[in-house]
Amino acid sequence: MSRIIKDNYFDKLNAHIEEFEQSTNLSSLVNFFIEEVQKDQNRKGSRNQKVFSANNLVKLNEIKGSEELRRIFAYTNIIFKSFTGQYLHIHINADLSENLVDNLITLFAWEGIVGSSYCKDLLLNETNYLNKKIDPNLILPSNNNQHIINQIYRERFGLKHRLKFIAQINSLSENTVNNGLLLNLNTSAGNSVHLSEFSEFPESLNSYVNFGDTLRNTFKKLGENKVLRLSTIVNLFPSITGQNIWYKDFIRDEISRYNNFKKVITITSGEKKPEALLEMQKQNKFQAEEIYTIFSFEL
Amino acid sequence: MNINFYNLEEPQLLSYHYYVAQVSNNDLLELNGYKIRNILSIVFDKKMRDLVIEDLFNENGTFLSSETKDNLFRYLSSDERNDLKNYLSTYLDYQIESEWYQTITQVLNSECINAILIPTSILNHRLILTHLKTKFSKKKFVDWQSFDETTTALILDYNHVWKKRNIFTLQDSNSNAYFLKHFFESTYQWRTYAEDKNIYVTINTPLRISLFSSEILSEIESNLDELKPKNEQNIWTAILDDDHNSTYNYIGREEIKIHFDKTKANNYSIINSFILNKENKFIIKNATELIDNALKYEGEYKISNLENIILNFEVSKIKEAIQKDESILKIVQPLWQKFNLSENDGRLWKQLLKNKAKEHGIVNVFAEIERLSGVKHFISLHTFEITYCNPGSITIIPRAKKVFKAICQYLELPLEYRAAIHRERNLIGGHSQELHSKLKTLIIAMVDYEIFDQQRNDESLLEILNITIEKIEKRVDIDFFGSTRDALIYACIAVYYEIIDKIKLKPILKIEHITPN
Repeated sequence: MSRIIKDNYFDKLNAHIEEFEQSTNLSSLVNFFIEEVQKDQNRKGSRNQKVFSANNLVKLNEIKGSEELRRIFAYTNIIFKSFTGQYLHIHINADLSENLVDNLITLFAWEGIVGSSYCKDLLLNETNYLNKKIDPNLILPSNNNQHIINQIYRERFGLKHRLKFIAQINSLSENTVNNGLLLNLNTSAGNSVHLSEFSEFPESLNSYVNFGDTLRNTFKKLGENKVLRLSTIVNLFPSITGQNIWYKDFIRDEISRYNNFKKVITITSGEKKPEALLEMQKQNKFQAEEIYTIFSFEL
Repeated sequence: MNINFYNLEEPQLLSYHYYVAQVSNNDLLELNGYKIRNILSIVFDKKMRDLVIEDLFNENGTFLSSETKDNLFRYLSSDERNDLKNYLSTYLDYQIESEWYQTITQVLNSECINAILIPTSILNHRLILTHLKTKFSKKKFVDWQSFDETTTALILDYNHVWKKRNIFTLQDSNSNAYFLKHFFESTYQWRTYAEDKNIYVTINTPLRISLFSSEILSEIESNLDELKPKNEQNIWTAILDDDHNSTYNYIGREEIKIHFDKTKANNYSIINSFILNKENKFIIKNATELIDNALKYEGEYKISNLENIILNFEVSKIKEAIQKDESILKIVQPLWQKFNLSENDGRLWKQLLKNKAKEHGIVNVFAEIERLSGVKHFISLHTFEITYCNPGSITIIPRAKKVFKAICQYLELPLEYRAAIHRERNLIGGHSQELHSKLKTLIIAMVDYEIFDQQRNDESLLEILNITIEKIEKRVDIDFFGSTRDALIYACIAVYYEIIDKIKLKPILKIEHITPN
């Protein structure tokens, strides 16, 4: 707790957070997954036939119930929605647990993905393909090979789940504004975004999640048309060491070479002691118009 | 963690004030630095008083740096030293008579605390530690390095500077800290205020103002103002917190803006120093001095930023100059023959250390260096074996000066050898913070002794340096500039020409103080 920040400040902060509402699309997606994972876990049969792991349910319940997560997610969203400049760096000056960071990544990614536009024809094609693939007659091997049997069941349950997942995506309120989002995550963040291989999000028209590739490669892969549709880049908990880390690309000149993005936001976390915090701010001040430090006493 | 300050009444501090005045007058700042204040804080009886004073005023004592000891024994008469000793001793008698010790023992008993955190130099001082153990029987003594922060201790060693662990990082701990008020309360208050100020500077951004309103941010600012310590920040705090303040000032963007004419102006960090010139007379002032006496300099002096001049120095020229002095090499070279070793097999000290390790066992050699240097675990045993005892490794010199001194002492290598290796180390690499600071001290001394006040050639430079070098030598780290007087003269000549080459004097039209908020 700080000696200089008192009730008025916290009242205002709490009021902002109270007012923040998670998007309906995101809430319905979370509820959808909870229902799906619960059903999968309750289904009788071998553990190896299950599409999701028990951890997925724990994670989803944390996402739905954790007040700490809700507060950080709300606060960061409020900050970057209120930011009118182009380059913002939000630093959460607290040692967040791995779980919390993982769940924050999930929320940010899902929020971005469910706020995107989708090509209806592509979704229809996938639905047709899945319907065809789910054979009404389940054929099991005659030799009673349990491993193969489990695989067959798991794939069948997975495909049925995917069918519902596509329907869920289809049912979300459509985002018609051209507000394309590029979400830069670390290579290892795939597990935070996709609960299983059957829940991988279909390609959207105006958003893209990049798992650890350099910005240059990402822009190349996306192609000019898609890059032009992007308006926001969010760099989420970037790695700052290692090779081919896109954080190095978070350089204003490098980014603006491709497109005049309306917002480029980087969110980092980790406890920094006063001197280290000042050093970080000094090093990054050229990368951002504003560095917004969330102190642990605000969480 | 509870942080408490024990108050000694003002009349009891009279001798301490005399002591501080003497220390200050003689530029012996270390004698009243945090380290010594922490050492003095554990004086609870006359025996401890005598042991501490004996170490402080002893040429072989372990508490003071060699630089301070040098100043103390070279430039102070024995009468002056005795005065200092008497003031300190009288003050310590008052401390002993006070209830400081009872307060400590009471806390230890009532809070069931089994560990006491004391200064490292006390932990390494066998006699004092033994005596402390008799005064606090059954208590464990630790220092900041060996303290396990998950446990509880009574902290008697004030430290807010160590990055790894300090009284601020232990805020959630159950430990108790007790310090003498006159030693540390002001420093602590300023430090706490600085932390709050950092928070304010960090949160005072346009976006936060738009989210929380300028009224709330103003309210926070006035909360901060109310917390500003009433007493002046004294010279000690400023000196000992120098590193922290530098960082803070830089980030906080407190700056000095110097207008050269109506259209041209430059901003500089508040920690910068400047060379000023008026009628061929040079002086050096820091930014704060310029701001405080702006009217004196505006329109009167020409100015050049000293930090930029140093940054543009061609370090190689200074290195080449120092190498002109070959006196040390003449002493060092025959050592190869003396020890019957070859230069091709690696550094002499490493070869000798390796042989010692073979003879006595690596653990014993390591322990001996620890003992001689007074630094426990100065490096891991494994690293000691693969670097220090390995002539093939690339390390030139151990990081800590006193460790290398201990190694040379252990290997019976002469002072000149140590000097030669220091010189070699200092000559490698380019600009560093250390080099910058050492050069700055040298330049300030040269300016003070009027070396720049006339245009000079080699001959006239040598003439004035011969007169002033003794005084310059006292003010700089001679080890850094080649360790001999001749090497220092060569370095001064190179520095003179570099300054003349790099200085760009511009008139001062106006001086402005830029504060972050």
